[in-house]
Amino acid sequence: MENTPIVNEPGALAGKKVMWVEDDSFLSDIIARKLSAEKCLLVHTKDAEEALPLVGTEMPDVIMLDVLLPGMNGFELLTKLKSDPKTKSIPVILLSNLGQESDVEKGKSLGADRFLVKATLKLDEVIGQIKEVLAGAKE
Amino acid sequence: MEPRQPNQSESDFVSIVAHQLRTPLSGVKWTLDMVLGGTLGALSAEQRALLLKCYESNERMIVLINDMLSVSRIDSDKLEYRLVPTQILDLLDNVLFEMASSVGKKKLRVLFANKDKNLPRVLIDVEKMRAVLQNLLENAIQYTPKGGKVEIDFQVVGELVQVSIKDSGIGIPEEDKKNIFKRFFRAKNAAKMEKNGSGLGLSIARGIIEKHGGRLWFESKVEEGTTFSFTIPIAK
Repeated sequence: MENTPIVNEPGALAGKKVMWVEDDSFLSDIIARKLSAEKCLLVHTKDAEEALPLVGTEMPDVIMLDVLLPGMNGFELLTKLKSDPKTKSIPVILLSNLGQESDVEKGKSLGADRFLVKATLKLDEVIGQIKEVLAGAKE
Repeated sequence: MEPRQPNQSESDFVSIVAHQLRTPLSGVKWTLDMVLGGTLGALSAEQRALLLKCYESNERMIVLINDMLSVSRIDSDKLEYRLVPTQILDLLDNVLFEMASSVGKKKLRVLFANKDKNLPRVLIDVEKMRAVLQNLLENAIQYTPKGGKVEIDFQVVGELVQVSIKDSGIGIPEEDKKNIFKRFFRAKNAAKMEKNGSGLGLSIARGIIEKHGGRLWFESKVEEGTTFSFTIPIAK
């Protein structure tokens, strides 16, 4: 994924490592640009299978996880992460364009910190949610 | 003619299509967020004005898709309801608080005819009822001229609470009254104002109220205003 240098301001995310699991290349590109502006380190993968081994080695500060992914879906990856003592304490924000209450409930019951519906949030609001989760604020 | 009820596979199809449409629209929204936010450099006034129009159009598409999804879920009984005893006055205060900016911009007066703190609690799904109140209040604000007023009243009627939202707006033309709850229908005088709207909000609101065991109706006179009223059961 291309990272374009952007004028940015140091913020609460500066230096934090964010893993983003997203298969859509358009969204991935925007996310990379935004996180670069926030001066944080991005680990991006396009699917859950690729993400799973990387979580243990990269140990990100937070994981942004799409739900509908090719192959293993976001709920399945979340289940695996929360059952592994090494990764279970890493906060996970589910980010999807699903948004039915059953999806939200499922995400929470599996241990997600937040469930965000992409189309309803501005990009700055998504960043704000990451900052809140990193600051320890739970919904 | 009443709309045909979709079957399960049609409803699932709508959910999948909604998801697929929301993804590129999210990309457009976030890109415009960044560009309009100045992250990629300064914009001229003309560039900003045109991009804001793009942003508004994109938002309209997102609203339309969300509304279509809600309608489809109401039809297929997929919209899940979690009913909890709630003081609707508090919920209304929260909704009005969120709308303070649009009320202020139009210099509208919002008046309570009866704000009885002893009003019994009602049995509602808070998020669904919030959507109903938002829709009815947005309509009242949107279609009331600057300096007008919106009056809100609560009454106990038997085992129900009746909520009324009366505006001093443009009113609904006589010939449009029979269609006002039909999907995608917009009254002629409302459509002329070029306000954002999918024509689905009232249909969704009525579906939600009826799922609560209540009823939604209106009275209106052109150039005088409209009163939307609904009932919901008191929590036992």
